[in-house]
Amino acid sequence: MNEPKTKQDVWPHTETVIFLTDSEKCFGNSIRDVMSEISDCEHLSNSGHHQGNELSANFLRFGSERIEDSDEIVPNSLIFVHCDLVLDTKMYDHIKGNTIPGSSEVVVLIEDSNHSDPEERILNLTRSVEIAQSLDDVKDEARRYFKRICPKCRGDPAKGWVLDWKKAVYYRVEN
Amino acid sequence: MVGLLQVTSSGFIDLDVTPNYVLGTSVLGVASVVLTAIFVFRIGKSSYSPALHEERNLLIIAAGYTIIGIMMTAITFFAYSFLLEQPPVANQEEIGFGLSIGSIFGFLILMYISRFGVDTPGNRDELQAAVSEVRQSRCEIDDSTKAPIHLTKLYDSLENGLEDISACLSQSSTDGGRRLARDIDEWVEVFSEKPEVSQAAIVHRSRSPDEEELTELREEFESITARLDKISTDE
Repeated sequence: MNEPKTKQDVWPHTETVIFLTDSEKCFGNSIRDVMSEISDCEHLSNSGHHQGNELSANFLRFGSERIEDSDEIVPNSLIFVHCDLVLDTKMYDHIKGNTIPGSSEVVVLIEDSNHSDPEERILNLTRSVEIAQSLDDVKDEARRYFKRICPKCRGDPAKGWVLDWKKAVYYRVEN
Repeated sequence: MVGLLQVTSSGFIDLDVTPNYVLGTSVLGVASVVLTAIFVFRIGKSSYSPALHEERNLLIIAAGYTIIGIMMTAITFFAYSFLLEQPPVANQEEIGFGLSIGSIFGFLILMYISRFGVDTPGNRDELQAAVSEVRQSRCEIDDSTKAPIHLTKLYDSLENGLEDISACLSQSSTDGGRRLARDIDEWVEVFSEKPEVSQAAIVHRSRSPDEEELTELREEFESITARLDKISTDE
């Protein structure tokens, strides 16, 4: 990873959104369809008010085998993770500790769990995480996050926010 | 040989009195078909056009030149018959003679056209070196056990190698070679703006993207490497 120093180093920005799950489905929909629905978000649309926006996104699905290597997880700032891959796994340590930058958004997908009452255990985590219990929750969380880093909506602070996030990633993966 | 020709009262060459001429023409006709195929294969395999490295296409092209020669000979025969007001009927010997002349004519057309249209790039060594660099980068990416975020230099090297290839191919005289150069430029432009995690999903053999855009970029990359394999290994 090249060290980010200025906003020009990180913009235009392509957000990487990951789905950490061993399932091909998310709330009954194929992951591919969910990715497609999220990518329809106005902040990524490049039309209307967002014409010429420097923000874009790519979507990836990672299985549980990638959890062990934190460097696979850290460079993604919007992380949707199935609840079973949070509890009693290395991901729990990543979230509880300082592995993932605080500015990264972690959204736990509560569905088809092998654990009893996973939500309560997850909410007991010291780090702030969001909970999604439906596809609408997933889309809302994504939209909210993209708005935060959208230069057309938030201007320069959004660019600064991404630069700070990239610096935090650089610090973690290169040190 | 032309001096040996005799013409019948109907105006056509008299094949009965010049059997050796017919035999010689037949030998030349067969040799022309073989030479047409050899030249087409040599020209195709040395070109930067991926389509000209497929044997099926080369056979069609070689057959095409021979067929054009034969058709033009046939048209000339029918036109001559019409002008001399003779019925356009030929015996077996005359048909064989016509096919031979047509084959020779097809070979001469190929020789004439190849003076202008043959792809004779002078940067073959540069292209080979750049293709090797790309193959090496991809092997190192595949073999690496590191997370994509640590492979930035390898992705940069892959991009640089592809840009060098594009510079070589842009000098190609074939549409296929120049189209490949354009495809590479467009792909590199998009790829270079992607974060390492996405780049890995596009080029790493053990990864496969779910998202449509990344899937298309991966398919385009496979198409580019397959075309490069064709034009770089045949020579």
